[in-house]
Amino acid sequence: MAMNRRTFLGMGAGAAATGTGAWMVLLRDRAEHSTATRGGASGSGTTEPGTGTGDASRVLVVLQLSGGNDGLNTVVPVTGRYHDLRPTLGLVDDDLVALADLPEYGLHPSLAPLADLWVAEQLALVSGIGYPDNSRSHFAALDSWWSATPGKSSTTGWLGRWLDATVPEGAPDPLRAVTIGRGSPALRAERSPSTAIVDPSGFALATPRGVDADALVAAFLRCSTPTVGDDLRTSAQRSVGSAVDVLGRLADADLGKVGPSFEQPDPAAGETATTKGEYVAGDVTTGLSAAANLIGHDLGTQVILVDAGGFDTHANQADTHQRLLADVGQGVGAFQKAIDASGHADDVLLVTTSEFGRRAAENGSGTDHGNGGTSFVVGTGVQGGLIGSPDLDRLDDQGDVAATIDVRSLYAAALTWLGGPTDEVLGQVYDTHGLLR
Amino acid sequence: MGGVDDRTAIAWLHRRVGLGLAPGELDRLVPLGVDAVVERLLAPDANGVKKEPDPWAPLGLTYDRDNAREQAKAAIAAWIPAMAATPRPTESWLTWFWHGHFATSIAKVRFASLMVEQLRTFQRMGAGPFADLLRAVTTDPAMLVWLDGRENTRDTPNENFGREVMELFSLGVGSYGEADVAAAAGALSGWTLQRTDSATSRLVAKRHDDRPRTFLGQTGVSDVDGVIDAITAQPECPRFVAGRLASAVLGEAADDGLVSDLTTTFRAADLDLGVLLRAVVEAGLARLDSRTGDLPPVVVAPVPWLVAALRATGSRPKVKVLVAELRAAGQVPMSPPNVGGWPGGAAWLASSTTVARFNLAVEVAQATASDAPTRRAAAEGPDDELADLLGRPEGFGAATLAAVAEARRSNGPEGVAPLTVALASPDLVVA
Repeated sequence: MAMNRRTFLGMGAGAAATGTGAWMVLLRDRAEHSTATRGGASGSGTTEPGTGTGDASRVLVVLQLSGGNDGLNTVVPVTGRYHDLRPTLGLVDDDLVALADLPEYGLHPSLAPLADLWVAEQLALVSGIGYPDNSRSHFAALDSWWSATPGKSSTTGWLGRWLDATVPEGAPDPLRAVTIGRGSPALRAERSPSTAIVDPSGFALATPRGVDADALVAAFLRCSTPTVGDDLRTSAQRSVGSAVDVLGRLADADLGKVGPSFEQPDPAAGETATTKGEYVAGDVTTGLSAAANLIGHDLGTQVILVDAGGFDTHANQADTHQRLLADVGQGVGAFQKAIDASGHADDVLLVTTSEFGRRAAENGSGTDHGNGGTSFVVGTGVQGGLIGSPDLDRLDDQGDVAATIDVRSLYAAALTWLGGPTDEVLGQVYDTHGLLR
Repeated sequence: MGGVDDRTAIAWLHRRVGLGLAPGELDRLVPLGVDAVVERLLAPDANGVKKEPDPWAPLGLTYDRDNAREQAKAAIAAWIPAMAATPRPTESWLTWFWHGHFATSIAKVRFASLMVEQLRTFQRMGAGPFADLLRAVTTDPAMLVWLDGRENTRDTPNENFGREVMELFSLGVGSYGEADVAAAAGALSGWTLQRTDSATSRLVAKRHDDRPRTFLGQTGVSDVDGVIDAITAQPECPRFVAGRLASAVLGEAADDGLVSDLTTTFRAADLDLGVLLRAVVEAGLARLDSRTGDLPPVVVAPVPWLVAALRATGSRPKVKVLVAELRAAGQVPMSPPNVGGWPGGAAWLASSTTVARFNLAVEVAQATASDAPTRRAAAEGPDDELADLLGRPEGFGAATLAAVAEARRSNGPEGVAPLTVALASPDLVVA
């Protein structure tokens, strides 16, 4: 590398805590610096009357499978009709991961790591999830999942509204909500910032050779004030302060470090891909690894979004989906182990989302956009089981699995986990179908 | 009394429909006057402007699976310095704009040879009739791979392109129905890539479903020409395209009223993109020139921002390192996240992007020659000269001036720290 690259706090692990850097003094003096203590949403200082105050210790992880995950090959009905619809893409019954007490369904073989979670009743399968008038366009569907206002465009996302409804006293904390990957419109809010970390292992400020890191960052930080007016220029200035602030707090979390639960097979220890299963270093595994690190460091993050791409399997689905779901199974399984190891298992709820499922009938080597899909809900707080069941004999008028469970039911459960509010954020009460214990 | 002087207007043009300014470039252009500069930018051929050299011709790109990754990296790496040195700023900018609009990713297309053919199409046809451009994109080999056009056959129809061509490329959501998607898929079926050494596509008759269909209200549509004709005949088409281009150049100033006017002009010109672009530029200049002399700011995306920094400093750091940081910023050329392209606006103000821009600024500043005008002005001032060299003759804001002054007091090679801060400042992130 041509430059001297390091976390500018990397003068020693204690620097963050003791704040020896000159710029740290600047940060402490700035009124905007939010405290790094957990939550703060303890009933005081929500800026808007709400029916809930948020529970400071709870964490929600939303894993988005972008492109429209094929629910029918994820939670697979063991029926003849399924094989009629999918003569080539249909998974062989014997290959499916068996679900105890649920013989009519099996999981895609790549999801074997989730079998233990099912047995422990920490895995709920939500089948036929979607909106009544699904658009089947990625963008319209994503929009409706992000906003939770189907058919109506919104400037806020469902989690953004939750952030606004539970914002604690003092300056809003950009680390309350984090996306691993690009920023998500689900976090669009009126008052609440959030942090996007595109590359967890590269999130640090560089220093030119020969230049004092602290001094340079302190100088850069000066760009952030004074601000004039309230337009994009001001937002750009604020983003400078926000970025430096966030980096300081994340410095010790070492997001890019792959924890033991997520590790690749170690040839020196005699492990191989086959003994450890086929290791897939995909978006899910790397994203959830960073999420686990973030949770383990207790920085006050309450919402983490991880985006995994590639699920738009119009062609070549057999191989592609097998690899993608291997990443999901591996990543989710490892994540649960990691948060258990750090003592956070009881704090965390993980849900998966995807903008739609895919057509029931196969089309060539893949499937086209469909309607009702499948979500997973994972955690010690989950009431395990299957909710909804695709009725392949009663597909909708486009030949798709119907959406019988409204997306907002899933969101209501997620928001309840966070301590609410729910109906204020979603506009009305939604049945959570007993997803939480 | 006009709102701004020629220097400011010309700099604005190079920020919004160009890719920045090289040292001394503004000094050479200002005496020509704004109108002449507009002509040079919008009609380079007619004004004897040097042609854009092809950065990919020397690479000898092939269709070799074994070194596809290396060739992809080389093609991306070649594009960045080429943009920074372009003799045709608007043509180059427009190629970049169409690349974001018809967003196609090398991650799936795989072969740089196909990707660069698509970019060359944008360069050749980006300011001509929209119908011709859309038709070329529809049968473009990279696009056939990207949106599965080559999988779309009579026996196994694939609707991916048929949907996106309307939703994202020409009409917008809500301007078509599901039946139209199916009809488009049928009419466009049968295209495939030529399996030779050139990036060409062809129609295979026996894979083509030539049954006439009703598509967007037109009957008897059974092939590419019918699809393109029907799309471009829709009233939504000029509005959608005009809206996209106007927003990119004018930001929030592209309100409904302005877009309506531009749509009328565009339609009257048979959807000629050159006419549209000229009208957009003139609208921007008129607003700049008005009593208030301002335009709402737009956020500059990481790639154009970096290109402008490279052009202004003359710096040429290792492209490999630049690309790694662009990945962290969320924007690598030839790799949009999906067919919707890169999200714009405030999405580029996320912490990740801010950190990556700073790191890119470090790279650029460090590799800037010590006697380069930007580095000298960063080291010793005056500040208004530094701002002018970085494309802002109107000067930096107070906060950035304070930041640069403080950076001058830090150690290290002369000018590197203040130049880093200036390049990474919000004044250049928002134009």
